[in-house]
Amino acid sequence: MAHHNQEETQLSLYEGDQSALYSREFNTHRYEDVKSEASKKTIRKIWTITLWLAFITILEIGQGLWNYVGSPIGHNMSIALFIIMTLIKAYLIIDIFMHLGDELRTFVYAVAIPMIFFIWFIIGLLADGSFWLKMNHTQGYSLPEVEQHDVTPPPVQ
Amino acid sequence: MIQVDTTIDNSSKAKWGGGRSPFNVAYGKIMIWFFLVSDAFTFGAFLISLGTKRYFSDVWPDPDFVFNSSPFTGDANLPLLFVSIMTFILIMSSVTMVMAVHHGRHNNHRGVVKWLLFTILGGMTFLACQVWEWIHLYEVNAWWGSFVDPSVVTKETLRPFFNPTDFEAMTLAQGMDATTNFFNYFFTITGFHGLHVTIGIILLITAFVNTNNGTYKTRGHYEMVEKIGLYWHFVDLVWVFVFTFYYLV
Repeated sequence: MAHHNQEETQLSLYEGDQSALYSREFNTHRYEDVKSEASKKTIRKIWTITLWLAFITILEIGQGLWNYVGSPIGHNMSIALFIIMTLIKAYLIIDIFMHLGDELRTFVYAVAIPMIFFIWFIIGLLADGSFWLKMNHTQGYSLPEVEQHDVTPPPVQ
Repeated sequence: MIQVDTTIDNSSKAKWGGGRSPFNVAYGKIMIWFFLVSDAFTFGAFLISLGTKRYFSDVWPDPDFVFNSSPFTGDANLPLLFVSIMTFILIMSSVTMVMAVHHGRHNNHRGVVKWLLFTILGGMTFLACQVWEWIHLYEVNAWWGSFVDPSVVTKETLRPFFNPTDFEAMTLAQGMDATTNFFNYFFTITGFHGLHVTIGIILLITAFVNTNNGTYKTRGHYEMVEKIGLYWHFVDLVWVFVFTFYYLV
């Protein structure tokens, strides 16, 4: 690894300083002092988002414990709240920590649009699961391996 | 520092005409993002499969009852405490990673070294916590393919994993089936995630060594730190989802 530093007479495009070629973010900040006002503002923003993430996590844990001791919120509403809080956390991490929010819109779409598949994925497979359970409970008398504790076969004619 | 020809004017070229990045993002970074999208689908497939199995089951273990112990607290009943600590540790390691990337963008070598070190320590702590959790569960006989033998498992053995209402209503067969599936999925998903954390730590150590050697200083930019940072944030993101869908829902 050490000899690498001595032999750099000819650098390929990807070994050299590509900051001016591509990433806009690299170009704008690299000669700024990290103690400058702009840099400190970014650092403050990072810690603010950290506090928000911690706060939402505490809310989630709080709701989890509330469910444990018995909460009046129904099961489905509880799941919905958890999902909303988790999606907010995911948005903050992706947008600000991973800096996807700083990229061009087309790149953001290139990453985010395939996620739409998840909508079908989740709805389809979870609906299938509960459907199979319902079928086992109602039509399951025909299958010997299905526990027949709440199914009555049709009357023999 | 060797300067590469930087007189390329991106605005004068067609976006998709070649010779430039159409997204104004370096090739390596684009590819990391595309890899993360594919890995998101893999983890998503595991979690959704878990959801399907759960909806297909008459009963399911209650995570508030399964995960109620922490190290150094003995037998105390503390639901969700340890996993919350683990979540905070991983989120904090993500924050230190953002700091490392920030210092890299401002070419502050010492800042990158310091914050990378904190990230590595955070990651290792999380991994250690996860190992403790696995060992603890193994000691209560939970593992892949556990609770399948009807000659050994009685309804009483399953009591610690269910809340009292579900426990009274379920049959032994339902309980055994659900418990086996619960732990199969748990060890698979957290194991796969732990593998990603381990790989992330190896990458972080590589970046740390490279930074210390001055490789990135010579190169002129800390983009490698940023790319590894993207991977590390993805690992954190997956944990956020695993935490919600395994421990809370």
